[in-house]
Amino acid sequence: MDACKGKSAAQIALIADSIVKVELLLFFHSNPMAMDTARGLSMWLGMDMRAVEKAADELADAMVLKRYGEGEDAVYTLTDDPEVKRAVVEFVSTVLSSKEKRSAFLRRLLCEEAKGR
Amino acid sequence: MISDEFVRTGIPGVDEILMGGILRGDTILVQGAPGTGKTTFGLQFIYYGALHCNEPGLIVTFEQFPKQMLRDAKHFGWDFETLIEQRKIHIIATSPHVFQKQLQSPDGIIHRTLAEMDIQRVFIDSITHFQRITTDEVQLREMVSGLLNMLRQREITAILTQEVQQAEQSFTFEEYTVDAVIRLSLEPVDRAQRKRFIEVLKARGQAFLPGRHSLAIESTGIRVYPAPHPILISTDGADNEPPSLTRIRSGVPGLDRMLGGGLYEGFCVLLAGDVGAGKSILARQFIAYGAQHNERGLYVTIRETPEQVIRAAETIGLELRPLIENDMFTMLHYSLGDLDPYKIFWDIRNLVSSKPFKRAVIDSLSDIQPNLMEAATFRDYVAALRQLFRSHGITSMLTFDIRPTTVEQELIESEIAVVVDAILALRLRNIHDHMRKTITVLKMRGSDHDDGIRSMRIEPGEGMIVETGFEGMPSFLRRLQQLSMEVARGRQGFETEGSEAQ
Repeated sequence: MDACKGKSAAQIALIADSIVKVELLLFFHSNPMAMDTARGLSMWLGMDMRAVEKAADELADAMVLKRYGEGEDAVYTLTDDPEVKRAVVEFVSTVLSSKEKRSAFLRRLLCEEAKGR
Repeated sequence: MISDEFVRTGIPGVDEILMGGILRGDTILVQGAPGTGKTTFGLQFIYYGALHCNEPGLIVTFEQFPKQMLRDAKHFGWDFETLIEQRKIHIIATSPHVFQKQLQSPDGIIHRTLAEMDIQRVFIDSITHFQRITTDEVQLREMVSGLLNMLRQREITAILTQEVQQAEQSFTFEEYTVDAVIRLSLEPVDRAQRKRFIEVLKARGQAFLPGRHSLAIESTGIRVYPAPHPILISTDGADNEPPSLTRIRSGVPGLDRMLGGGLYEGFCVLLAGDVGAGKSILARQFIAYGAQHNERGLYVTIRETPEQVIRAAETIGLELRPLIENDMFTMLHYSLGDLDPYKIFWDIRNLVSSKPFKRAVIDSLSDIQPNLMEAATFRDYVAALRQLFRSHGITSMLTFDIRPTTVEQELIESEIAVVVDAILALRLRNIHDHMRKTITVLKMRGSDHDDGIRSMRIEPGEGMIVETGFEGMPSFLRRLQQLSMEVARGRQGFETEGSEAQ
C-alpha cells in the first residue's frame, strides 16, 4: 500500500480514521524517536493492546509508521520518509493543534464509526 | 586540574563529592524514592555533556514521555530541542522488552545510534522497569550484566536510575554489579519540612566524600551542597598556636582589656550565653568596628532580617547603612523555614573567596544546629567554618544560645569548645534581685587573659560596656565565680558517685 507517498495532511487525515490511529499519530508526533511493540505502545497510550496492534499495522501499511519484525515482537517507529513526516506534522498542527479541534475531529470519527456499524 | 579520566557530571557539588567526577566509562546507579530528583540528575548529566564537553548523549526512557522530559528540562533553562536538532542528544521512548531485544541485535536501533552519533553518555530511566520483562533474579542479573558489559566495551559513561523505598537497607544485586552507587533521599526534618539528600554509597577505584550531603532542586537544576568537612581537627595542642600575633580590637574596649589586648587575627570566637545577654550586640559592635576601620565584614543573620539588624544596631549608635553602601559590610539572611546549613556554608565559602573579608559573624549557631541531620556533624560543621575563616585570615564570632541552667564548666567541656579558639560566656545573673549581664573569657588560645566574671551593660547609643574593675559589686561577683566552680565540682562528684554505685 502506497497510501500517502508524496501526499499531504489531507491524506493523513483520511488514513487517521480511528481514535487509536489518531492517538498513535499524536504519540509519534510528540515523541518522534519512540520505538515500541504493540504491547509497549498500548502502555504508553493506555489503550487496548489488540486495538493498538491493528491500528499500528494499518499505519505501517500506509507507510506512516515503520514496522520491524512480525507478530508480537514487531517494533513500530515513525517512518524515515521526510515527506510523510512533514505531512504528519502538518496534519497534527492543523487538524489537532488545539483541544477543541482535536475534540471536533474525534467526535467526527465517532459519528462515522457509529454510521459504519 | 581535572584529569581526562574523569567525566564531569556538570551538577554543581556532585563532582566535588566524587573528587573530580565520574571515572570515564563507569556506570553509576542513581537510586531513590519518587520525587528525590533521579530523572533531573540524569538529564542534567546528559545536557552538560552535550553542551559543554562535546559528548553526545542518549536517553532511554521506559516511563516518562520524552515530551514531558523536555518540558521539565525547559523549566531549568535547558534547551534540549536544539541539541537534539544538532544530533548531540537522542531520546528513545521504548519498553524494556524492545530495548533488551535491540541491545542483543548488533544492527538494531540502539547500536546504530551509539555508533552513528558517537554516543559517550547514556542515561537509562529506569532499570526498575526491567522487572516488566521478568522478576526472576537470575535473568534480571543477566540482563543488567549484559547492558553494563556493552557500555563498558564501548567506554560509555552511563547513569541508570533505580526506584528504591526510602528506608530500604538491604542491597540490590545491581549495587554489586555497577561501578558506583549514589542514593538520593527526601527525609523529614521536622513535622513541616522534608529535605533532599545525596550520598555516595560506593565508587569503585576513586575516593569520595562520605556521608549525606544536601541536595536542592533550584531554578537551574540540581545543586549539591557537600557536608563541610574540616581538613584537620586537632585536640592535642598542635593546632593551638595562634594563627597570627596581630591583635585586633573587638570594638568593646573593656573586652579587649580582658582579652589581653584584643583577639588574635584569624581567631574563631564562640559567643555563648543566655538569650538576651547581649551576644548579637557584641557581634554587631565587633563587625561594625572592623568595617569602620577598613576591615570588610560579613554578617550572617538567621532569625532577624537585615532591616531588623540595621534598626537594632541604630539603637546602640551603630550606623550600618553607610557601611553597606560602601561595600564594607555584607549581610546574608536565611529564614528559619527553609534553613539548609550546608548551603549556608557554601554560600559563605563562595562569598569569602570572591571578596577580601576580615571579620565575620554567624548569628546564630543555635538556629543551624537543629537543622543538621546528624548531631555528630555539628562539631565538624563548626570546625569547617573555623578553618574556612582562618584560611582566609578572617576573625570570626559565632553566637550560640545556652540554657540558663548550663554552668560554664559544661560549656568548656562541650563538643564545640575544642574546635574554637576563644569562648566568651555572656550570662544573665540574678544579683540582689536584679538581672545583671556578665561576661567571662572561658578560653583564649595562646594568650593570657582576665579569667574573672565581669559585669557589663548595654547603653543606648553606646552599645556594650564591660566593667573590668569590678565596679558595682566586686565581692558578689567573686562569690558568684566560686559558686559556679563549686556547682561544677559538685556535679562532677555526683556523676562519679553515680558511676561507682553502678
